[in-house]
Amino acid sequence: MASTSTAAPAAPNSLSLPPSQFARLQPHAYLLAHLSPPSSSNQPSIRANGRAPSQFRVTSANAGSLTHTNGSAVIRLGDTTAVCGVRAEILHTDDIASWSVSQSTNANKRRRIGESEKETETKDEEDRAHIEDLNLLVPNISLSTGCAPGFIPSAPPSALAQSLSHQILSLLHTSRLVQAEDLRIWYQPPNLGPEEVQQHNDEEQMDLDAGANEEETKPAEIKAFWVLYIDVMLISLAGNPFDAAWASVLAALRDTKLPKAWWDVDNESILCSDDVKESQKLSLRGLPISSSFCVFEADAAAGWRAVVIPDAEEQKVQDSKHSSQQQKWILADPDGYEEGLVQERVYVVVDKEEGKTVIVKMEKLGGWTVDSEDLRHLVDISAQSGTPSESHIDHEPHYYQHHLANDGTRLKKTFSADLFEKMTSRYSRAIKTRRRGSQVPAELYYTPRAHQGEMVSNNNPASLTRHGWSVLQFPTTLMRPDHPQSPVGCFDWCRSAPTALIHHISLGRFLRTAAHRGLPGKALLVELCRAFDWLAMGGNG
Amino acid sequence: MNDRRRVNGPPGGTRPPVYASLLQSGTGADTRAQRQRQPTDLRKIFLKTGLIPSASGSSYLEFEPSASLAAARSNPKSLIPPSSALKLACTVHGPKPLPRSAPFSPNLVLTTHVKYAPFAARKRKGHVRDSSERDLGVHLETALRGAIIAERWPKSGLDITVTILEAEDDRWWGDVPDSHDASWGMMNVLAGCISAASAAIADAHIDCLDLVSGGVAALVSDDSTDSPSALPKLMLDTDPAEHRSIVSACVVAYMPARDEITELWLKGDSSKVSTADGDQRSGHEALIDGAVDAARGAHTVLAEAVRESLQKTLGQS
Amino acid sequence: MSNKCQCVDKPPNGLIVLALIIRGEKSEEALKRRNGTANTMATSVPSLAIPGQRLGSANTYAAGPGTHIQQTNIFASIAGPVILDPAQPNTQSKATLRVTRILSTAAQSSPAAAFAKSKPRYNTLPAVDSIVLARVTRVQKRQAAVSILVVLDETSAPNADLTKAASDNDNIASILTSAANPENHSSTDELRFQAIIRKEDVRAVEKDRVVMEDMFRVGDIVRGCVLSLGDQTSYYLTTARNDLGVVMARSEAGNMMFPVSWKEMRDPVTGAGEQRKVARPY
Repeated sequence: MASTSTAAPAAPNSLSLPPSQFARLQPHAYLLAHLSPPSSSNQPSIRANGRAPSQFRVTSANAGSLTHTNGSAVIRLGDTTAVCGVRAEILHTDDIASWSVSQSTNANKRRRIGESEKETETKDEEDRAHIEDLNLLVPNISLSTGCAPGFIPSAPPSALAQSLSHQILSLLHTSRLVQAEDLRIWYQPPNLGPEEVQQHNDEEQMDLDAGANEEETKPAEIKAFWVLYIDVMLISLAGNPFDAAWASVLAALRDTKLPKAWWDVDNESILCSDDVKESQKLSLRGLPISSSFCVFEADAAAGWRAVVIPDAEEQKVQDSKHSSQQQKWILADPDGYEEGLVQERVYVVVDKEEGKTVIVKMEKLGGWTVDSEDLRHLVDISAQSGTPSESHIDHEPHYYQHHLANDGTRLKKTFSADLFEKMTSRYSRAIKTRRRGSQVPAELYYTPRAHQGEMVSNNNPASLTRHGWSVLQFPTTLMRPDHPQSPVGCFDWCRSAPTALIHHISLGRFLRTAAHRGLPGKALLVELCRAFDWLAMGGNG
Repeated sequence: MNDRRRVNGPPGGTRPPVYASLLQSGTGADTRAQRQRQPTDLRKIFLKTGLIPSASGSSYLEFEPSASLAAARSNPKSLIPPSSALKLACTVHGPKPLPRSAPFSPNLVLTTHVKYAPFAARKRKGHVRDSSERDLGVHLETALRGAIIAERWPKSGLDITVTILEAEDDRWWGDVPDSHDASWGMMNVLAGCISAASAAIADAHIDCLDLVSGGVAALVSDDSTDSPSALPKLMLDTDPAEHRSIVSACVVAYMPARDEITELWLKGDSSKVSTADGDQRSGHEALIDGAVDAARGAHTVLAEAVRESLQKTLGQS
Repeated sequence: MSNKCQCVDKPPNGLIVLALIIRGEKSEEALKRRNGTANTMATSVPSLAIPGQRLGSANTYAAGPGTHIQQTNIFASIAGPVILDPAQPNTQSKATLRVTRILSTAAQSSPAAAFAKSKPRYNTLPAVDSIVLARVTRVQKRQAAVSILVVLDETSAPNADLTKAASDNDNIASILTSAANPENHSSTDELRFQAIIRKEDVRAVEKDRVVMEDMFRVGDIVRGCVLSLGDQTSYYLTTARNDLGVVMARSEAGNMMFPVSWKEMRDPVTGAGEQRKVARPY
């Protein structure tokens, strides 16, 4: 704020306005003035909200405060508040239309594979099939709560709400946070007469798990599943809804208790025990933490500053900067004001596995300025330790961990060079098998899509399900050079399940217009290919 | 019908869990929630304004958990909560321009929305507003419209949105619905909505005649075993889960400074009431007076919360 | 009062951390207390008011903004500091009681004379003669459509205390938290009051030779004065004064321009001039 008040009256022929009005009239220039204070004043580059570019807001969490839920949490991320309630309901296998069919095909598959090393993979596959195909996790985000002025309470979910719901769903699936076993309700039938056993065996032998094949007892069968309705009400939206919503989902799931349930033969239905002692907490896989960033560009406002401060030297500096490269700032945990001024966003979801940090999801969408070099740069500044400006992502898990993890462990380095190595080597391994050292033919990833809308939420669950876990694929989309307005590029990698640590990456680029940047479409294509190559080669050049 | 704009659950639908203890008749009677307060004692209210900075005004309201709920929380035994306590958030957006389609209005045009969170009640609620939520919205609008000085804000609109995070039960969960049954919990919700919205409007600096507050009173007959001649008693701020049978209930929106009621909603049979000696009031009069008394109690909380946030803002600047 | 409310760290059920819990009072006590406070207030004017609070008798004071009259008493209608504006010495009028929505201490201490000169403002909406800052959203042959961003108080003369100009929704914290465009740009305009500058209201001279394209461009920030409340959708603005017109504009090259004359602005980088109805810079 101080920088504005010095900036505005400095020009005799400009309006003098209080900061609040300046913020509303020229939001871009207002934020820019904070981030790049005139070199004459010794002010640090700081955001309009008083945070350093890499600083996150204070987060607080409170779990288990809602009575009618199996698990609940309230997360406050600065002024953004999300309330998440998890409700468990029962899905009988009788109500699943294709249940018997899918069971037998699964069993067939299992028998065919048979070998023990494939078992974990099959199990994972079954987990995925149960949770994803049966829709056992149902997250929905509501913004129709009066959380911000733009959302009409009576209207159907806005595009943002829909996209957030799907992002949460896809992250729940890809991170495999919830274990399918927790959601299954088994039934162990008693031993019956031999002829009945015979009859059952004919039909259901396939249901036998290779390990649990005890000849005497009849096989246990799944009678029902728990379905988790995960509803997030964003009570207050002041930027970064995804991080807040995801954190609330995570905290609520950690708080979730499922009652003990069994198949009651007399009633022919599932009954539950209301005894708290018999209920079970969910055993979650890991604790994936999400961090969002946005990229603020100096852009055309450089000229505006030149007017305000008619300083020849300043002008020169600005000019040289302008000609060489756009100035930009990567802002962690953006607030609502900043979100309205940026086009480019980066989402990173990290987790800790066996003491090492892994990336669960990384997504970059919109914008044009952060290229492969910048991604690398992001990693570099994160890796710098001991410098006063601590890395963005280093910050993040600290506070989440602090509030969410009861075990007191903290992630030390989340996005260190070491991690980067790990990440890129995984890529290179995965990708090289596919590439076989040869150049990717251009036509392979030059696939214009009909639906531009799909690109925006390029993390949509439909495509994930389609691409699946078992096969490594590169559904890659680039923009059409002949259509400057239409998309873009989208890389979409999935690793196969058993050892997968990197679940999903997509890298999207959105071109405003080729003419605007003076870049012909073809140059853009080349640029995108280079980014792709860089990632494909494991980032080692 | 499939809602394509939301993530849908299994297409075949799901069933809420059935607890085995519910099937055994007679159980749970000893764990039935009991009112620990005196008939005229009100529950504590937690109310705070200005928590949502992107709104022009906002408030958050929470009722004190009943004794049985507090006990269940501190020492959980059963997964079935004995009762619940109201929790809601209210935002005010505006004054803002009227939509293009709206006709000219020399006054402030009030719009109210009340929505339950899907997890707010014992039974899971849908995402689309149902009739009871619309009903609450209309009642709330009536209550507020009488308090707002609408002519100070020509040709502009005010959106009031209430999100209910936890609602109150209509009866004790173990009871089967009987002839007296109605959505009694909704009346408590409305009283909470009125007080919270009033605080949010004050937070938004919209002119109003007074801080309008909501209060509930009910005629309760708790002794089902007694002779049928036993008359129902008047109770203030009733939690339906704590009573065996609510005969009638009343919610008012009340402005103490003017002694005016802006909204009155009375349900049930108020013809019989056991009053103190010498009390000549009829059943519904006693009921309304009781609700007004409850609203007066809520008003003291409301005034304190508004004053507190005002002092806090002044202290900051 | 203190025995009725207690501050604790957490609300009973703990959704939000800081809490004030006030015990629901028995109604008789509440009534007693209310009457008691009302009696004490009759003698002196309270410094802070909440809606519905009695401020004084209508026989002694006149009712200003933020108050209303009920029978013979003045009541507050908004929450805020109470300000007593002394009566004008040379008139017979009574001292005016008002409740201000400006919550800064600077505004409280500012002399009431500024207020007395202008019309009392009962709301923060644009009113006739309000000076507003607006962004041009559409330029047509006969008129330009603008979206009002800021309503400047009439009292805020160019060299007046800047904090006084802050209207109700000019809290910087709330601006920073609320999304500049939650979903898209069009919806933000729906949240702002719309206005129209008709061709004949652009300037005072040579009205018939006005070409709208040479006066305003989309995106310009214009200072205008409200002519009338207009129809149901739009206010009417005028810029037909020297101090009114375009105050901020970007050139076609995207640079901020500076004014060079009453009808031209110039791009400092390219040096190209563009035509505008320029407001006189201070």
